Amino acid sequence: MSLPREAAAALGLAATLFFAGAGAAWAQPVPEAGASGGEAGASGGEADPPADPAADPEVVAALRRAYEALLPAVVRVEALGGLPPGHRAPRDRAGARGGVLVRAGFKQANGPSTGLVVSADGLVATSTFVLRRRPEHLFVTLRDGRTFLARLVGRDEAHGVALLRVPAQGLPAPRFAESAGLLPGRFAFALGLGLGTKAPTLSLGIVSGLRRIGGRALQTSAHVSPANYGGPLAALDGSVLGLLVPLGPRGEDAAVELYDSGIGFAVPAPRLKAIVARLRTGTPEEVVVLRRGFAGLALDPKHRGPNPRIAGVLPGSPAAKAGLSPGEFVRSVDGRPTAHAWQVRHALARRYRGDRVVLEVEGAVGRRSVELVLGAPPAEASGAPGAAGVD
Amino acid sequence: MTRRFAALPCLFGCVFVLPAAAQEGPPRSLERTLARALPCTVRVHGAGGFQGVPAYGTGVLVDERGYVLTAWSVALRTDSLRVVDHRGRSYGAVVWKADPGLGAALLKLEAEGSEGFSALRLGDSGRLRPGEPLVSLSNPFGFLYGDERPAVLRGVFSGVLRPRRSGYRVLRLPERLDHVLIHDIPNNPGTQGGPLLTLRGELVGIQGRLAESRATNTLVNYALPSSLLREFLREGLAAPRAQSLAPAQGAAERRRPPAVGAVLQRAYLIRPPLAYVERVVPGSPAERAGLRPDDLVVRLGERTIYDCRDYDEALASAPRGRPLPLLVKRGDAVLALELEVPAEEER
Repeated sequence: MSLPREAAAALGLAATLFFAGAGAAWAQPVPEAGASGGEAGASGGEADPPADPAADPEVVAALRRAYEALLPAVVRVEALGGLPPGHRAPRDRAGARGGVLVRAGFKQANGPSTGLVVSADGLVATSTFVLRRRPEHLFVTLRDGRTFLARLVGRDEAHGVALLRVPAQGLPAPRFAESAGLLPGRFAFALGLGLGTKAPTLSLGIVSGLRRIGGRALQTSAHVSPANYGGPLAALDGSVLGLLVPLGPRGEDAAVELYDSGIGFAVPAPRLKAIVARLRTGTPEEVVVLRRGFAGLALDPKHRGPNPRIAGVLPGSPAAKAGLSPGEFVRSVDGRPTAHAWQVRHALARRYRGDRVVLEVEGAVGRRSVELVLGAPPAEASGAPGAAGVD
Repeated sequence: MTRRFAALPCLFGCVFVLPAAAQEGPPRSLERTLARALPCTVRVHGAGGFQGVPAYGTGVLVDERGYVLTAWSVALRTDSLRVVDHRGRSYGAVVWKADPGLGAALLKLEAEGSEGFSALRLGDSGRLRPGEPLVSLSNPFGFLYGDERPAVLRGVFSGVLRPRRSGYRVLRLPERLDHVLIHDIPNNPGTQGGPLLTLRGELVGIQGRLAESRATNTLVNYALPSSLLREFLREGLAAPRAQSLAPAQGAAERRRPPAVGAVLQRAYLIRPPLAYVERVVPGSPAERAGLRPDDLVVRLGERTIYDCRDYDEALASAPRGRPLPLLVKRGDAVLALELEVPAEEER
C-alpha cells in the first residue's frame, strides 16, 4: 500500500501527536540496529521526529528543479595568458590597485572560472577574480558547448564584478530576485564551474545576512570559494539572489582565505543589475572601470545625536575641497536622511570614484548643501596605509 | 514550499499502515538512519603522523564477519593496525586488500569468536543528483575517545569531478580514480574512509583523503564513489587470505606525445608560453585538421591548454588512432576542428 508523500508526512506528524498525547512516544528508546543486512527500525508505530528542513523531499525536489532551470545561464569562463599561475599577489597594498581582489600571498591556480548570463544579447557577468592575472584572452563556453571569444567591457572593483561581452544572441538569462522581502534564513545555493566539472557543482546554505560590507553584498552560509566565484547564488525558486564574488569583511583582499568556511558573499541581484547597466556602456577598447569612491570624511563614532558629526576632514580630500569642516553634522547624502554614521557609509559605498554626491550638512554657519566629487582613498593616492574609519 | 496536512482526519484508521508507507515515501529521519549507521562506523588507528599523513582515520563495516572498508593511506602499512568500534572495543586488524590507485583498502578485524558485526551495503552513487542531502560519519582530527560515536556532518552532493578528463589535476588524489563525488561537507584529517550516506542510509561513497584542486588551489571535499568500489569490494570479500602489500610504486611512465605535425612557438626562458602554432607540416594530421600558423590552441579534447606543456600532456594522453576535438582561436574567431591522433607508432 502506498500513500502520497504529503499524506505520509502528515501521518507522521499525526502519529507523533497521537503518541505524545498518550505519553509513550518519548519514552521509546531509539532502536539500535543489532542484526545486520536488513532495514532497521520501522517496526513499531512510532513516528519519525521532524527531519532536517533541508532534507524535506519538497525542498530537495525544488532544489533540483532550480538547479536544472539555472544550468543554461551558468557558463564557463577561461582565461589564457597573463601572469604565471604561481603568481602571488604583491604583499604591499599596491597590488589592490590593479583590480587584485585576493589576499596577498594567495596563489591563484590555472583553472576555469564561472560566469552568469545577464542579458540575452551577449553579456556575461563574472567576478574580477578571473582578471587577477591580467589574462590576454578570455573564453566563454555555454552549456550547449559553444565557445566564444569574450571581451572585457567593464569591471567594478568595489564589488568585484566584471562584465564580458560575447558575440552571441539569444543567450538564456536567468530570472533575478527582487531583494525586497529577502530575509536571512532563506535557502540559498551556490553554483560554480571552477573545479573543472562538466556540470556546475552545488553547495547549499541559507542567506546569512543582508547589507554586508557597506551594503555591497549579502552573506550566505553556502560554501563559496574560487570554485564558484562569478557564479550565481540562487533561491529554491530558481531566481538569482546575487553574484558570488571574492569580497570579504576585512577588505577585498582577505576573501579567499574564508573559502568554504560558511562565510561567503554575493552582490545582491538589484545591485548587480545597476552595476551591469553602468558597465555595459563599455567596449573592449574603452573598458568602464568603477572604483570605490572616497570623500575624506571621518565621522565621530561616539557621537549620539540626531545626525552624525564630522570628526575630521582629510586635507586635500574631496570633503576638504567642498569646504566641509569638523563639527558639522551630516543630515543627508543624496537626499537620503542620515541619522547614523553607518548610513553615511552605506550611502557613500553605493557611489564610485568620480561620482557627484550631494551632502546636506548643518553647522555653526547654518544648513547648506555641498556637492563633492568622490576621489581615490589616501592609501592609493599617497601610498600610505589606509586611514581607518575614513570614508 | 507548503506542506499539506489534509490527512489529519483519518488519524486513527491509518496509524498502523504508517511503516509500510514510510519506507517508500519520504526519506527516513536522520536519527533513524544514524541509529543504523553509527554502529557500522569504526575508527582506524594506523602508523603515521609523518609527512602530514594522519595516523587515524575512519572506516565502515561492510560485512558481518568484520570487514572494514576505508580509504587507502600509507598509515595502514603497519603491523599494529587497530580498529575501535562504536562500543569502544578495540580490535587488531590486517589489510585484507588494498588498491592505492583506487584509494581504497579493505581491513579484516581479528575478532575470532565475536558475535558478528553490523554492516552496511554499498548503495548506488550513480543515482545522485546535485543537491541531494548527504551525511558523513567520521573521526575528525582523531578526537573521539572510548565509546564516543562518530561525528555526523551534513551537506549536499555537489557534483561529479572527472579530474583526468578535464586535465585539472587534484593533488594527492589516487591516480586511477576515474571520477570522484564532490560535496560540501568538510573533509578534515581523520574523516578519510568514513561513510558518506544518503538520508535513507545508502552508502554512496567513502570520504577521501585531503586533496587539493589544481584548478582552484583550494582543498576539495570529495568521496570515492560506491560505483568504483563495488568491484574492489567483491574481490576483497571473496579473497581467501590477506593480500601482501606491494612496495610503494614510483611514478607512472611518461608517454610521449604523438607527432601530429603542428610545431608550436616554444621559445621560453621561465615558463612555457601559450600554445601558438608556428608551423604546420604539410600532409600532417595538423594540416588535414585545418590548423594554420598563428592559431592559438585553446582546448584539446576536454582539456584547456594553458601552455605548451598542457598541449604535450593532452596529446600524450589522447586515445590513439581516433579523432580528437580541437578548439583554436584564429583572430577573433573560435573554431572547432578535429585532429586525427595517429595510431601508436611501430618500434
